[in-house]
Amino acid sequence: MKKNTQKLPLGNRMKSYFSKPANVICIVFLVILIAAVVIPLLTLLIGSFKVNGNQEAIYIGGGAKDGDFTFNHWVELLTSKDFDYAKIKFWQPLGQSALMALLACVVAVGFGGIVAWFITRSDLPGKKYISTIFVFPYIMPSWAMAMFWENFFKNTEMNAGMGILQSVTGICVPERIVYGLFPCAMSLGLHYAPFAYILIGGILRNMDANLEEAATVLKASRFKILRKITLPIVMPALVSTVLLVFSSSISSFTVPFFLNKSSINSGNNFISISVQMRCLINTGFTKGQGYVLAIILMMFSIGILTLNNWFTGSRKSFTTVTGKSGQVSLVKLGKARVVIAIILLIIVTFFAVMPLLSFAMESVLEVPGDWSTFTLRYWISGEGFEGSNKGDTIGILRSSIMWKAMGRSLLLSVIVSLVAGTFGLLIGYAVARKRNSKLATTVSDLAFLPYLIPSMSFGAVYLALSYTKGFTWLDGSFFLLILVGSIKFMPFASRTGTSAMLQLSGEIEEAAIIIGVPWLKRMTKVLFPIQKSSFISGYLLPFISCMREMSLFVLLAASYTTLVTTVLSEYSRTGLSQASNAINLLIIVFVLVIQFVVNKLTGASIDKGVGGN
Amino acid sequence: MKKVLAIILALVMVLSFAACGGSGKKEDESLSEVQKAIAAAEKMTEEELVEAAKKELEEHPDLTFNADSLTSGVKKALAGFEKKYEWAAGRTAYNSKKGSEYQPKLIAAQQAGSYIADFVMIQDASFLKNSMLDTGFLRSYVPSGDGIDIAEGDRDPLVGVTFNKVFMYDNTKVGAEQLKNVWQMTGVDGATLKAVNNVSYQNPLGEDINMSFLIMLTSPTACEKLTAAYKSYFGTDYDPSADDYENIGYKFVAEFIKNVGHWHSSDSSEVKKINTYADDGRIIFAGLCKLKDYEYYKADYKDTDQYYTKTVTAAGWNNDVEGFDGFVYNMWTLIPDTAQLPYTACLFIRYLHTEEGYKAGWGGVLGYYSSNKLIPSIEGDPALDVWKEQCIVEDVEYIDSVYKTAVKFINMQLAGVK
Repeated sequence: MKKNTQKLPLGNRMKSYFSKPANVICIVFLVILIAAVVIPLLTLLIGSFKVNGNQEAIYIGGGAKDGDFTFNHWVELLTSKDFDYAKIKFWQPLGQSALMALLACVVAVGFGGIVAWFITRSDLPGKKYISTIFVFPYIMPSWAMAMFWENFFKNTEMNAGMGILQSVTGICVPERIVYGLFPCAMSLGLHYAPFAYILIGGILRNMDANLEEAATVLKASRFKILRKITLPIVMPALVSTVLLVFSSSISSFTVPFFLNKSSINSGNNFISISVQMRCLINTGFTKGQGYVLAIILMMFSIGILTLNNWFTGSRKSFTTVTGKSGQVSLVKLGKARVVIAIILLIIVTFFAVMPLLSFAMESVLEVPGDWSTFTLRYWISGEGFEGSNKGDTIGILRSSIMWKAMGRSLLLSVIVSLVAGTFGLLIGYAVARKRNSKLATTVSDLAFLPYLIPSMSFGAVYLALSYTKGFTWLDGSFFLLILVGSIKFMPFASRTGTSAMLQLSGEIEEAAIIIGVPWLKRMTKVLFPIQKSSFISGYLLPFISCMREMSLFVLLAASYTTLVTTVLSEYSRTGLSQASNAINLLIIVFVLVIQFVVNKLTGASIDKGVGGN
Repeated sequence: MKKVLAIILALVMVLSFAACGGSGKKEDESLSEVQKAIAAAEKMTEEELVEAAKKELEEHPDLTFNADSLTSGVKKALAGFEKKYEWAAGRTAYNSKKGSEYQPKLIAAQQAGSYIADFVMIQDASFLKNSMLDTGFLRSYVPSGDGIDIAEGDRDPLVGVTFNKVFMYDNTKVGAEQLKNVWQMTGVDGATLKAVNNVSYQNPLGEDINMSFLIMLTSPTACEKLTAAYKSYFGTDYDPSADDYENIGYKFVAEFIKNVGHWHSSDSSEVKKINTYADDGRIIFAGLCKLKDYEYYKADYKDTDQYYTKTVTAAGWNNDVEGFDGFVYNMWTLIPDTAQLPYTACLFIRYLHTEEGYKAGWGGVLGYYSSNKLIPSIEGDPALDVWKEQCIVEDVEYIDSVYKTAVKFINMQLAGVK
């Protein structure tokens, strides 16, 4: 039979192509993301091949001038044997940091995944409590967990002062537990465990119980069901979690910087690749080498991204929500349920509440650990803060600057979460509907790239843009913060959006199309309600991240008074650590209040999204 | 032949004169508005400068005088400035800027030729010289007049305030006797003095000033000090052939880094806890001015004038350590080439260098030193010249010349490679 190869006219083909919402979304986001993501990336790449300023020209020598093309940064960082430079500055930290990030992934996915399974798939008592407080560590900045870790485990045997564990039990743990690679991995793993819990839990909660029930009927063992059904179903979320946790951990600066206090002779000294990167980028002599490092770190993550695409882009189907079954069968834990619940309650409470208590404690003591110096002045004093602007006071509750900054941070976070969340949802829809299409894969990858660009570099690129003629209106503007925040935090939303959309069977939307439901209505009345918990996670995650973000905005904010985190940074820099601890606590409380309000208004929340209720 | 030579010479002379005249005119034309204002301000009396600044603010009622700085002293000085010049009241703004976060902003403004502030006060000598002065973005105005005498070497770029970092400890339990010679901090136990193995040092990978200090320890001046201290401590001359180090400075840096007992991440936070380290005898290398953050007595004495006295007594530092007492570095007061209120900036800089202005910003606190030689350091704190004599002093030319080698060497030590 002769195949009809006659093509439609271009106009008709275009019309047909753009009549599909997924195509329009892909094209629009391709343009947006090229402008917003590719340009910063190119800036980094170009920076790694040119002399960035006079100091770098001095470093390179040989008559190099600012702006000259050079391979020096790559050669120097990757191959220099001078004082073992390449080994010390790059290879060794890279290996150790990769190990740290992998360990953090194991902790996050293991801890978060197990808790998610118990919450969503078992008859564990106390779910609501566990689910509510399990997300606390993620709401805190990552270094809060590091600070708590040190305060808890430090001891006098290693000349670091007495920690909580020693003062209560007299136990002195080895230095390796307190400082170095292991505690960094633990702090980061515990910080990101709620993230794994949110992503994996969302999938587990929504998965079709028929599959497991069918396996049970066929007398498959629990392990086999887990291996053959549950794990494959949660695989996209699992890989996404690993990708996000690995990328975040390997580029985390504050935790390894804070927990690297051991003496060189102890052999426990750990300098992470991110500390090396920050040091290189912040020093005028070696900015280019810093860019090289940033690019290599991104390539690492792109490798995992490719792996992620292989999982989600192959022919394997991960559809778990078919619209045919809403039943979730809970595994009965039997007599073990109480024991497991108690163990979980203790662990979760310890890591969620203790850091908060330590913040509260630090904010009311003039001298850390000395209760004789108890004071409330960092909360309520009207005394002026000498190094600061008019209207600022040491007592944060009476500081008009702090409250205004808090208001702006809230507004920014709400707008950013709405923009990033919606963008992520749309990208997720397009990727799911056009799976295996190169355009969709490109858009999905581009949407994830901002996550891999170091915050400081990302901010620096937009800072340079705001000083460029034609764009000076952006300088110090609130719009710039919204723009940068929305792009930077879009990966959270696009990952959750994609995971959630991939779970949805195409049949659901097809049924709506057949009865003539327009696209917007299909999205708002059919698709969104089914996967509401996952989508709301996609909105809440950028909100939380934006509320506590500092390094991204510090270069772009008009002044330190702009956002609550810049106020916090200023207090910390000027020695008012009690006030900065108080602000930290306040940020966490605010986020929890917002969550509560969202819960009351919409019935949704992060923890409910994974089955807390 | 002579005629030809004479004509050629005459032509050369004419052209030279023309060139000289021409270049002078061109030079004047190529000066930025800020440079012209600075040149004019340097010739003005105080009264004339006040008038010029006042007129400038009146002519630009919509503009605010923006002062960017790392040190909160500028904020306090601005308050004093507004009090002295009432016409400037409510027209100034202090913007607190952290060094590593502010440098990208300065570079972006320099590259785009955009406005960033009217006055900046920054540290990091190499960044200043190579990225800001050599590109002509930051300019110096040198104040003069009664009560102002700035050393020649501090004029261009204009030094605002000088700082020092010293070795501090809890005075009640640790005491000055513990540290008498810098070689004690290399972990070696001399015949008479005990090795000090509990030094706390801010990680140089996160603090440029501490990296600069380590680099400066390899300089010829530091080597001289270290050689003398070595002999005094070990009773024998240093023998360069005994090891592979480039000089005694590198040897000291390597052994000092290995001997650091604790790497802290913030000087302020570490100094705050000095009293809690009394039992383990910790010695903290940090800015002397950070003692103002020490809070042990704050609750009891905050309403009296004794708080700072008590603090200074409780914490100790040595002024006579063999070798060196610490590190001295500057913070410069400059005007961006894109400033919108240059006369006001000149007047503010002048004010900062008067006793009244300096005291408003940094008065009464140890560890701050004015570049105006007529303003003494506070009671109980040696004069800046004494500190400079006893400390290692930041030298941008030296840092630039050895940066690559020295930093690679330091990185190797930080990684614990033998």
